[in-house]
Parts: sequence; C-alpha cells; structure tokens
Amino acid sequence: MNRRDFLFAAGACLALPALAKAADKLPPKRLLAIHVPLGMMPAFFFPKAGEASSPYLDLLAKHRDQFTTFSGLSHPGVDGNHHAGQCFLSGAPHPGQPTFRNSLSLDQLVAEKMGEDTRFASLGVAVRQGEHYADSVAVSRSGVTLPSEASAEKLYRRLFVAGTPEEKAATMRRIAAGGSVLDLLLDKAKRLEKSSDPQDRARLDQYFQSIRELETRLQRNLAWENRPKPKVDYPMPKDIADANEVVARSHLMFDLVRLALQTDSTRVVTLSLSTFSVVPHVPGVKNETHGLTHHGNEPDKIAELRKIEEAQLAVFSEMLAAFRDTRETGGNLLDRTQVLYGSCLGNANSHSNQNLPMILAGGGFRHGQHLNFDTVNNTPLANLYVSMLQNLGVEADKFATSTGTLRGLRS
Amino acid sequence: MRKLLQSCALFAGALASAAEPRVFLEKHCYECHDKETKKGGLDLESLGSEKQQLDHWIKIHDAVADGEMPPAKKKSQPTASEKAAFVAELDTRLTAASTAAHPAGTQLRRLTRQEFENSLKDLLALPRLDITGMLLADGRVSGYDKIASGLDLSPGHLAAYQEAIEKALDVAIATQSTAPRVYNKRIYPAGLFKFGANLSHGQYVLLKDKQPDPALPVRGGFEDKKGHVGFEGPDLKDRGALVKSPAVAQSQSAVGLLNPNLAGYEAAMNVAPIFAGNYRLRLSVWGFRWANGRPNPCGAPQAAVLRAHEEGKQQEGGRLLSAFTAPSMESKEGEIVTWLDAHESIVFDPVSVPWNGLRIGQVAGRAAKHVGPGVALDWFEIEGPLNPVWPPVSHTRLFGQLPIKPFVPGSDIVPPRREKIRSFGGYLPSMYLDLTAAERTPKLETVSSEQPVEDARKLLADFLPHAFRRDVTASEIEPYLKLLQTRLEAKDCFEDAMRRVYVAILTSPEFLFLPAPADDTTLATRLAYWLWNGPPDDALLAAARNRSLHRPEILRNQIDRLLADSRSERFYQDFARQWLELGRLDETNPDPLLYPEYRFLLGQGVANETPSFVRELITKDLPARSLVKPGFAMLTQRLAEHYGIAGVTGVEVRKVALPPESLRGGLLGQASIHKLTANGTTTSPVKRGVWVSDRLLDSPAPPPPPGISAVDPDTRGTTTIREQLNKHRTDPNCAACHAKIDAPGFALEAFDPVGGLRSRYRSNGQGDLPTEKGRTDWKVEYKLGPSVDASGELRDGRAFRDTSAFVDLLASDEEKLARAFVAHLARYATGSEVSFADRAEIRRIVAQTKANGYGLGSLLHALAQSPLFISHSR
Repeated sequence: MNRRDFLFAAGACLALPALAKAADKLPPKRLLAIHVPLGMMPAFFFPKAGEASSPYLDLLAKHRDQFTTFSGLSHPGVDGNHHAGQCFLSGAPHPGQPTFRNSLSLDQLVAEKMGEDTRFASLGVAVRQGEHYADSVAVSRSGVTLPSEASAEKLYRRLFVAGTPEEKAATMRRIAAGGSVLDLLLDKAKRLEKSSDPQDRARLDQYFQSIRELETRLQRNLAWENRPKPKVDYPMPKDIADANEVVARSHLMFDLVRLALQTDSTRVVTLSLSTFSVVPHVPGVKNETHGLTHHGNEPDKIAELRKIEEAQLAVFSEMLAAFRDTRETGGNLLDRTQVLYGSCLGNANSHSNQNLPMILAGGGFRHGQHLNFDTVNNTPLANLYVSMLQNLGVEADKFATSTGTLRGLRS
Repeated sequence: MRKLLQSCALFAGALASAAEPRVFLEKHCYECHDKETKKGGLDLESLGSEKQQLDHWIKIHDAVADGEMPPAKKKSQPTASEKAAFVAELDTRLTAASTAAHPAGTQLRRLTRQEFENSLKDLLALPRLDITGMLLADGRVSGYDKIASGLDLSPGHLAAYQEAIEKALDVAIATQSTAPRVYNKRIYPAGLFKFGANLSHGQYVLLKDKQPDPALPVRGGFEDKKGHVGFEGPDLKDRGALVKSPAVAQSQSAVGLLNPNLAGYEAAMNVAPIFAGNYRLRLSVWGFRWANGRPNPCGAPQAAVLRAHEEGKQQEGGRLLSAFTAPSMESKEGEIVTWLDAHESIVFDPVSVPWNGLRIGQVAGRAAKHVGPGVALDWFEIEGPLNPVWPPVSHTRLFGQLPIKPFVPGSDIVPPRREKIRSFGGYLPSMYLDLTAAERTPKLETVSSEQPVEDARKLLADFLPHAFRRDVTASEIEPYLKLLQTRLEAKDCFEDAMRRVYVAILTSPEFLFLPAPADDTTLATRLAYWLWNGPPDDALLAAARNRSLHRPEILRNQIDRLLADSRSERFYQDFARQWLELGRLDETNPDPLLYPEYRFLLGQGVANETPSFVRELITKDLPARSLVKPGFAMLTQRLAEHYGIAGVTGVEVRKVALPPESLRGGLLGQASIHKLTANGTTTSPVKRGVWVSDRLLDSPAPPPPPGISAVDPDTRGTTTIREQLNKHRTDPNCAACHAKIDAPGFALEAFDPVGGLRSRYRSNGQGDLPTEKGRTDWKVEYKLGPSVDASGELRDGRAFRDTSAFVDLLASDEEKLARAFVAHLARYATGSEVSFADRAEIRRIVAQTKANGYGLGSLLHALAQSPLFISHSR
C-alpha cells in the first residue's frame, strides 16, 4: 500500500467529514458481488489448520493485504444444492422446497438506498451458457429474480453509446407513448379496485403498484435521456460467440463492470460467472465443468477441475489489479468498492451448502486476514452482509438471517 | 345406583376417548414419543392443538391411517375399531382446521408466462412465437407455476410483457401490400461450404447410386499408423482443388456423413430466410454401415435431424425442427412445414452416428479404413415463405381488411420503423440473390385508414372480446379509442398508434388476469387454460354465452372436444413437465466416460417418452395401475435399443406392447425419471425416493434438518451409494425419515443415471471389463464395479426383494395412485393448493371411477365436474 493510500485509509478511520472537507469530493462507495455458482474445491481454497494460505489463495498473493477470506459461513436453512444460488444474496431458506419464497437481496437493498443518483440503480451481469439456476443473484422485494445481461456488446451500448438524434427522438416518442399507455392502465386499475372483492384486491393492488412504479421509472428515464452518457477510452466489444471461452468472456465483463463503476453509471453490480454446460477453453481441460464438479474423489477429474478453478481465480486476480490501478480522488477504485467473491456451494461434489468459500476485497475494510468461524455450527453469512451494509453507510443492524455484524471484520 | 353411576362414568370415559385424539396417543404412542423418550425426535406430548400445528397433526393422521404407526413390531396394538375411531375423529377436526386455515376458492391470478405466450399466439394466429425467455420466471408452489400464491406481479413483469408484445406485433403486422417472393430451391450438398471442407478431409464421402463416386476418391492415408494423425497429408491440396472443381461442387451426388456435428454449425445448408414465415422443408436421406471403403446395409435405420440456429448463434445448440428416419440403403423423403424466423440458418445433423472423440479425417487410415454407421443426404429443398392468403391472418386479426398503402411523406406524421431487408453475410447469400432491387429496398408501405377512430372502433369490437375472453360493452372500448386519438395527435401514423392500443389491451388486467370460476364464462376460461394451456375458442365461449356449459353433458362434450383438439398437446406436454418435474432433465449432462451411449438421439427419445405416455393414459382412459405397470411403452428406435427392446425402427414415438414381466413402460421404468433424479454421474436413492413419494404418491418427504452434512459420492468403484447412505440410516434421528424416503430409491438403483438397467455400478477406477466393450459403435472405457442391491422395505413394513417386486407393490395400491394423480391434476387445473380439507372430495372423485379401475381419463372428467374445479367450494 503506498503512502497516499495509507493516509486515506487512516483518515477514513478517524473522522470522515474532516477528510471529506480536505479532499476533493470523494467518490461514492460501491458494491460488486460476484457469484461463482459451481464453487471452489474446499481442499484447495481453505487454509489448513495452522497455515496462513492455501493453493488457491496463493494465486491471489500479491493482493493479500486487500482482501479477507472466511471459513465457517453459510446461510442457515439454505439447502437445495444448486437452488441455493438464488439465495446467495438473500439468505431465504429452503430454496428447493415447493413452498419457497425468495426475499430482497443485499444488492437490491443497497440499490434502493444508493441507486437514485446514477443512471442505473443497479446492474446485473452474467457470463453463462443457457438458462440455469444462478444466472442472477439479484432478487426484488417481491422475491422475483431479476434478469442479468450476458451480452457485453449490449451492456456497452446501454452504458456508453448515445443514440443518434433520430434514435433519441424515437426514444422520447416511445417514452411519451409509454406514458399514455400507463395513464390508461392506471385509470383502469383504479376502477377495478373499487369493484372487486378483498381477496382479488390484493392481487390487483400489486398490478396497481407496478404501474405506478413503471410511471416513476419512465420519468427517470426521461430525465436520464437528456443527460449525455459518459465517454470511455475503450472500444465497443463484440460478443465472444464461443461459450467455452469463459476466461475471455469473464475478462471482458470485468472490464465493462470496472468502467461502469468508474464512470458512476451505477454503484451496485452483481455478476454471475457460470461454467454450467461449458468446457472452458483452458489447457488440459476436456470435460464439461458441472460434470467435473461431481468428481467422486477421482484424482484425474479433480486435477482437471482445479485447472478451471485456477484459471477463474487468475482472472479475478487481474480484475483486482485493474481496480487498484484505477486512480480516483483519494485512492483507487478498489478502496471504494466492496468486492464480494464467493459461492452458494461449499462442496460441489457433495452438493453441500455449508462452509461457503467467501472472499471480501476492497471497500475500505482492514484486510489481510483469514477469519475462521465454526465449521460444524456455521455463522450466518448475512452477518457479513450487515457489516458490509454498515460500511456502505446504510443504516442496518439486521439483514435476512443475520444475528449481528461479523466478528473480527473491521472498517 | 352405584352401578348406574359406574356405567355412566364408563360411558363418559368411552365418549371422552372417542372424542379426544390425545387419549389414543397416550395409550399407543407415548411409549416411544413422550417428552422424555422422543424417539426419532418426535415429542407428541408437547404437541400444540390441531390449529396450531396442523402439518404435524396431518402427518400423525396419515402415519396411523397408512399403517406405518404404531410399527408392526410393537407388541400392543390398537384394535381396528380404536384405530378407525381415532382416524375418523382426527379427520373431522383436521378438515375443520384446514378449511379455516386456507382461503376458500380458486383465486384470481395472472397468466403464467407459458399461458401468456400461448394467449398471444392464439389471439394473433401466429404459427410460432418464442417469447417466454423474455418474461420473468414464475414462482412455483408444490412444483406448479399455475398456483396463485406463486404468481406475483412486479414492474419488471409489466416491462417484460410490453417488450414481448412488441415482438409479437413485429411478426404479426404486414409491412407490404403484396406477399414476399417465394423462394424455392433444391440444394445438393456437395457444393456447400462446410460439406466441402469435410469432403476434403474425408469424414464425409461423395456417393453416387449408393456407391462411392469416383469423382472424389475415398480418402485414405497413414494406414501404417494408429490413432490420431491429423488432417494434413500430401493429398490434401489436390483434394481441396478437386472439391472446389465443378465436377464435385456442382455435382448432384449424395454426401455420406461419417461423423455427427460436434457443436451446431457443421453440416450447414447455407440458407437462411430473409422473411420470417412458414417454410416447406424436404430432404432425402438414407443410412448405411461404412466398411471396406463403401456403404453397406446397416440393418436398423439411421437417423438425422434438421435444426435452426438463431442469427449469430451458429455455434450453440440450435432448435430442433424435425427428426428423420434414414432406412438402410434406401432413400427416404421427409417433409415438414415449419415456421422460420428471419436469418435463422438451417443445419443438418446425422445424429445416429456416434462420436468417439476424433474426426474420421484425423484418424490413421481415414475413411478408407473406417468402420461405422453413416447417414447420406441426397438433397435438401426449401420453399417459402408460404402465404396462402395475404395479408396473413395475424395481420387481419389486428387491422381487418384495411388497405396497406404507400406512406405519404411530407406531412409531419412520423413514419413507421422498418427493419432493413438484408441477407446473412459471408457465404449465405442464397435467398437474397433472387430478390430484385425493388424488393431489396421496398417502398415504405403501411396500413392506412381514412376514418381512424371509426375503423378502430370496429376492429376493437372484434378484438377486445377475444382478448378479454368475454363480451365487452361499448363503454369498455372508449378508453382505448381515446388513447388512439392521443397518439394520432402526437403525430403517430395509424399503424403505430394502433400498436400502442394493442399494447395497452394486452397489458390490461382483463387480459393478464384469470378470474376465479364464478359463472359459465369464467368456467370456460379456466377450462381452456387447463386443457389447452391457452385461451378458449369461439365454440367454447358460445357454450358459455348461452349458459349451458356447467350442465354435466355439455361440459363432458366440451372436455372431449378440447382433448381431441391439437391444442391439447400443450396440456399434455406442460402438465407432464410440471407434474413429473421433466424440466429437471436438462439440468445435467451425463459423464461422457461413464455413459458414452447417451447422445442427442437418445436424449430426444427419453424426453418424448413421458409426455406421450401421459397422453396415452388419459386419452385411452387406462386404469391407474398403468402408471407403473402399463404393459406397453412409448418408444423411438433409439430408446428401444437403450431398453433392450427389439423390433422398433424409426424416429417417431409409438406404442409398443411389452411382456408382463418387463420393467419398462411405466413411470418407474422411464429413463426420463431416472435421469432427472440423478446428477449425470451418480444416482441418489434419496432424490429418487423423494420424487416417488412426492410426485407419484402425493406424500412429500419432509426437508432435511438444518446442519446435516451431505454425502460425498465416490465413483472410484469401492463404495456404493447404499453403503454410504447406511451410515445415515443407522442413526435413529436420520432413520425416522430415511426409512420411508429411501425405499423407492433403493428399488430404482437398478437404473443408472441415464435410465439403463444395471446389475453392477459403472466406475472410472477399479472394476471388471464390461461384456459390451468392443461391441458397440461408441467407445466403452468404463469398468464394472460393485453389484447393485435393489431390495428394501416400504413405510408400512412390506418388503420387496427387487425392482419388480417394488413395482408390483405400488401397482397394487391403485386407489392411492389414483388419489395422488387427482391431487396433482387438481393443482394444475384449479391453480390452488390441495389442502387436507380437499381430501374428502378427492376420495369421492376417485370412488366414482372405481368401476373401470380408476381410469385416468375418467378421473379427469370427474375432477372437471367436481366443485373443486367448478367453484372450489367445499
């Protein structure tokens, strides 16, 4: 850590308002949550007793003072193996059960609080092949999993490409037309509410609220339509057609996420890196990833899976480096961005949802440690989320199944 | 007097024990399940009231009623009358508690995303509409997306609906006054780009009159070596030139394919439609066994498919258009009429040809030495877009007969947007070449109206009743006409202004929501969304309009009509998928080393067997026991081979009679069920047991307690899953549930993760050589490990020594199978959960059909006539 970073960090611990006066306006704090649906083999991720590092953590060695790792964390009541992906950020219990209802995810709560000032309240992004369980970890208040964008090109357009004057005019017309349609529907909904019985009213009320919410969004879109999009020194990417190019696709998405945060287009990003149905283009890898995660303890399969997981961690390491190299007032992008990297699976071979592999980087926390919680009776992962919320300036002492903040993690 | 008092006390005591279930519990259950002993973690002494802990009391009721508890080995047992009184009393109390706990009646709910798509499709008469992927996923309750409590509505939903409607309107609205030019061409494969490359390398061969065509010699080379040698060779340059020369490139010879497609874009037809529409595709194929450098008879036919790839996604899977049977050494023509979107590219794939890791052109000896199955393509034809009328029906649904005229520029009216007419670049120009310059850049035309509001009024007077599935009053049309006027004033052209109106209609609550059945019209709607997964047609609405639909004979006739209509296929597919969890089939890919026999063609047979089976059971009104012991199976050729059933040829699904001792045919013998309850590598008796309990018997297993460590499967061949699970079953806390859950799973251990019968587990580690090694067209590299033990014991103590014995036990529980079927069908049909209070009605429905062995068709009719469906009143 260079002297300037250290000063900033030390200042942040003392008295933030004073620092804010001294520096140019500090960049806002952000949240980037990365989900790896197929997990990481615990034998290589977690440090063994008495050891400081592990084979996988060694790959991130040059960033060691920038992140914290955890063992013994999971969401109580969240089982259902792959189904747990949709609960990674919400902690809603028993996702595999017929009666399951999901709940608000961490990133969407943060988006509610911090999303007003940016073009996009949040962004959901994915690297994937086909539709699978954990293409998105963002969940709305009503328990609906929000869609994620898998096309780098489309994402770039949304973020940085202004329309031509004709396109703009067309968009304005579309917004106006949309408004007229909503007026009609609002009117209808009001009338229907009066005439229906109480049971039905609750359902129709959801409809009513949705229309109103769309109206609000339309107004916001109108306002943003009139503001120019940021310029970036990065060419428009072309989507990588081969789904097996997972490493290249991940690089590309990480780049775009970094640009989105840097330009304050959004402050909340979720990213799902799925290798389901993919034979990653990594030397020595010939088999589809999910099949490999059910290695049955066969050494050949474990070795092949390890190559895939190491490749993914290498991309993550490069992302951290790129964030650190992105200068901002008062420091770098990583200082002001909480980066969560983990999985809903503690052990893909046995489909265990306990003892989840988790990394927290950046965000101005004091890092460089491995926090050990009880691997038999896990500590709620949501405790970490409460600590993260507080660090982001969100007033919260509870989230989902939390029992407090996470012991040992300090800002 | 004393005697009188005594007998009064006795009498009162007897009344008390009859009335109070806890007395029974204390007498027969507390020995193991009181506060101190708590056997299996169950403490009955501290149990709350029926209202407070309804689910627990229901489990107690069922455990005693089904004979599970008290366990048979307990010495003192309740008498038959004690048990009956206890169960009856609990039944009454629980029915009351359940009625109070659950909202009465089917609720208002929104359309599921599949229903939304089907509604748009039918409304706009579109042959194909693929928009469910644009919509947000529905919530599921008890595995069904039809249930009101799982169907919320958020702004995200509405935004997605709007996008999907715009896409549907893009397809439906005609943008020109005359039909697009019909393209009609026969394509010979030898000149196609990808075929040429493969012909050069030698995994495709040029064939004339069913023999190698001397115009391009069969490729040999490196005969002295073994295994992988690469494509290069001294002959490659000359071959390349030969393939490009007119003798080959313009040849009408057939091409024999010795390798299947690896990923998408291999044997591409080099043609993509410019205009979306219906196309007639024809081809001629035949199968052979390649040996000694030439085609030979192959016995059973081969198979090939045509797929369509979305623009820009040539590498990925593609969607299946149709499969074709390729008989041995005999050309067979196949034809389909199918909807193609613009710029979808057509690809051919010889799916019966196995893939063994290398292309023939890379292997020593190449085609000259190769031995294996092959499929030959003689020619391929494409004709379309087929438009028997113009403008198409979808357009007239929206705009009637209003003329499509040139757009007049000059006024400040904004012209409608049009997609450019373009070809797929690179080496796929075919259809574009036929278009004239005027057709490539057509004049801007749009539907026009001299009196927009009046014309719109007429259009909506027809459209709205169809969209809202009921009659509409004139005042209901007004708001939409006002919207039209607003948009016209904002300078929209008529076409765009009407688009806004249609978006508004199709996001109105009258379209999006299904009301609870209250009268004949709402009954018609619910019936259609049950049996067609889509909106009612005019005939059904007419029956509703004259208030006759609820009459039993009319209702019965309408149900028969709906089931006979082709739209019922949507019900069979969707219900089978939801009931039997077929959506899980795509979740796993079988390990290619352990299960090399599983490729696309087998997957297709596996996926088609179950919905066809469900359709057969219902349409032929077969008895409930047929669910597990039908005496027939719904098979394709490949699936029959997989099951070891001889004499079935061709790609179509058909009914095949089976000998009585066969394990195949019923749900427990179907590979789809085996695959979806496994993970592609290993089977799980727990998963399968859970599936049987929940989907076949409607008694779902409880979830695992928190903090349970999962089993770490081991496929190195030393330990079986049964041995590993035993550790859990010997723990009394685990055994309580697992004793019940696992039994069906153990019976099904005889089936591997891809539905094959096995007596030994396959392993990648230790084991013996399988007898099939060297005898199959695919490479066998797995070994055979420990033996399979498929014995077990049911919840009520009945033991079975193998899979067949288990199936017989289940088949004998016909009434239970029937009740479970009705419960599941009721969830789908009514969009409501099935509660304890509904059991009496379900029992009544089932009893009605006892005479014909609880025929599934009869059960469906009985459900439709019951208050459960009609008004969901109790």
